[in-house]
Amino acid sequence: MTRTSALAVLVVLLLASAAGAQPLPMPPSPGDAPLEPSWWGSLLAYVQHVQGDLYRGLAKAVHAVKDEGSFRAAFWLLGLSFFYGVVHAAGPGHGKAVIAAYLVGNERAVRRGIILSFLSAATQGVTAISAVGILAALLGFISREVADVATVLEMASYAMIAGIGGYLVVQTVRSIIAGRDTHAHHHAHDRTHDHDDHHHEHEHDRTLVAPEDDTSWRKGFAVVAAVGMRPCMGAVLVLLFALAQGVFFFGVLATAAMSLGTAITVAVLAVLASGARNIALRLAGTMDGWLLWTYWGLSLTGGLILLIMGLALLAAPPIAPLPGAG
Amino acid sequence: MPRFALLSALALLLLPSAAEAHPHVWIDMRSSVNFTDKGVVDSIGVSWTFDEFYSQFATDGIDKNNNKKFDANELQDLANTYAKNLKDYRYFMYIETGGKLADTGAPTNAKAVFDKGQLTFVFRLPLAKPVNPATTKIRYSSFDPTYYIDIAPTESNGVVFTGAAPKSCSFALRKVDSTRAGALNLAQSVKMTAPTTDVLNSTSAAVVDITCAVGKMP
Repeated sequence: MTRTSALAVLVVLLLASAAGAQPLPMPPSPGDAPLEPSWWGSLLAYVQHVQGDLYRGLAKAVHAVKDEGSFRAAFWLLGLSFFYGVVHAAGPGHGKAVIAAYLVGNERAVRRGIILSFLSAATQGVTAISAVGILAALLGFISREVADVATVLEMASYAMIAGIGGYLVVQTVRSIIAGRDTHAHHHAHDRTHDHDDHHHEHEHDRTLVAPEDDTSWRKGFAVVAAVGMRPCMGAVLVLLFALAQGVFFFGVLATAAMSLGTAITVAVLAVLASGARNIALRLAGTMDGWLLWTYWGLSLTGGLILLIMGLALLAAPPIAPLPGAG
Repeated sequence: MPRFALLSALALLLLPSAAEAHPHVWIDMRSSVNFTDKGVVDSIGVSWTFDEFYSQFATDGIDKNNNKKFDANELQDLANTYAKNLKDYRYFMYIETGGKLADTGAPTNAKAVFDKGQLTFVFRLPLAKPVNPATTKIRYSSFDPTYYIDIAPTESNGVVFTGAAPKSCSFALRKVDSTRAGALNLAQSVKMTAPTTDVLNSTSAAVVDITCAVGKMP
């Protein structure tokens, strides 16, 4: 177990870094001794720099599309949007942490992790397009009012994340209790119970086959909905700008390209998360009896993280101090 | 206990990343260090030029008389709103005198300009106590602790001296510091209302240092 935990913690550390979490805070170095540039700090700084350039470039590209109306300009806009999506998603947010936590706790199939990543990114894009398209383009809301609606959606998303976390925790605890009962009663569990009884099968065949049943897909879709309900402010700003410039359609295309870029970044993280979980379980699998506990530990962890994360985000003061936006 | 350790590690590592610490607003900043006739610094002048996306966002709906342009009074209303609303954010200005975070008064000369699709907000932030840079070190930086807004000095003429600046005084601009890991989120740890005393040493944002050579006072 120690080996497993150590490994899992290591992989999780890597994951968290990939998710853009800041390394643990370091005490300020004494005196004026120059700090060695850390590769991570430098990389982050570089990514932020690139992101800023891409963002400014996007505004120019929208102008070009408007003024020239050429294929070249449109292609340039889409290309920039795509890369902006890739880089922008490398920062925290975009539900990466949510998806990672969910996958660490609940998902076995890498394939499904990728699908969920693409679906959540696509949903985020659709939410942004719908918000701006319906509210601003059709109903004539001004930008600030659209942002207010986005804030409400954001809160709903956080509440849903906490809800999913709570559900997963309760479900896992019930499995643990049921699992122990089952053990005592010689696996005499009732197959008609539908609360993810598949855990018990591991006791029989020592393999981890989480059946891709409707229940897991439903949970996955709940995660997608929770993440996707929250529109990306970057996309909203680009769409509002395109609308004001009279090229809303290109704003929609740009958002789609951005979502694709975001999806790729998130999918990479999803693969890492699934991989981490599988490695941890495989190692645990060589140690009799602990397999199930590791499985439950991971499930519980994933659920708790989602619960805490959702609540923390709900409790945090609104993060968007757009000066004068109020 | 290992499971608990695993869980704690996960929670600790993932939580900070849950905050939305990536910028959605970019600001090009110019600032001026304003000297009085006696060579004392009494205020910092700030000019923020917003990116085009945010500029469009912020000015949407301010054209009250619908004449398709932003009149002086419409822009002034916006500037006044900023000056009022930014108080809770310390105007995103962290000024240290003698190593301590200095108090400032309310901004004066607040003004907004809209040019070539970009909004610029200008204001002057008076120091509660004017400071003689020959005897007291002055440093300042402008950043958003939540990193929702990326504020960076412009490449050229990012900082200027105005008024009767003693010849012995000069400034050094420490650029965005990539050596500070997590820089870009770092500021998250700065509490907006009760910042620590060492804000400028811990920030990764660009910092302006003003020094006046000792013994060369005019």
